[in-house]
Amino acid sequence: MTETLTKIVWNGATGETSVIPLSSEELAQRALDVAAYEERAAAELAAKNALAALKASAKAKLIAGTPLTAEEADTLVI
Amino acid sequence: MSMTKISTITVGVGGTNTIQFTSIPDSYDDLYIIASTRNSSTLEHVLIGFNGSTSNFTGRYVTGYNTNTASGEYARYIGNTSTSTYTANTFGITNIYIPNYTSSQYKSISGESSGENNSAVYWTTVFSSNVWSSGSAITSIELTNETGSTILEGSTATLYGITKGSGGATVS
Repeated sequence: MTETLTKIVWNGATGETSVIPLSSEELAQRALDVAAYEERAAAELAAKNALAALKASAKAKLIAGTPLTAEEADTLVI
Repeated sequence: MSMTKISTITVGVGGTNTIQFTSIPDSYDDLYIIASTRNSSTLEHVLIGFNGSTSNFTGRYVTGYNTNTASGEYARYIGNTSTSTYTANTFGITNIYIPNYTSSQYKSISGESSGENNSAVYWTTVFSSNVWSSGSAITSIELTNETGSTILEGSTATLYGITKGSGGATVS
């Protein structure tokens, strides 16, 4: 059985509170919100992993005494 | 200044996807919402909408979680809820202030929130600031979760009307 998604609505004109199924527009917006979240989460994870990789590379080069790239140096310089 | 409770929405059995206040009276100066929520997801973000629209929002946030801090841009992000992985029977608190909600100017929205969790490992506090770039008066407010997850039974949201000055008089 398909789950019916709902909203709880208080109507200031009547003072009544109702449980109403989401409209097709609201369901579409919900899908957009989920997709936007997934895209944002993927981008944040990629950025986090990229920064970690740069830092690790910068540290290794410092220890080895080899030159850092500008990107690697940016992770260390405040 | 006076603060008047307008309405409380309480989520019942089965939960809901959205909490919505509609036909909000236009007789106040500002609005204030206290939301106490828990969701069925493992993620915490609460989103706000006005007048059935999610458009024309610009937002920024600062957050502290565990021993970390972060900041960024995130339209409609207003606060945090407690999630299904948090301490049982615990709800996150989000305080939302909306000044001049009937104005013909753009609207600012301030959020202060905490995803309550009795844990030394993971909990979250958030300060958020949004702008709704619309000259329309706010007549309805919607709260939902970014992942579309269920707002669980026992969650509540209370809407207050704020009137400037003693007895409603304008402070000069």
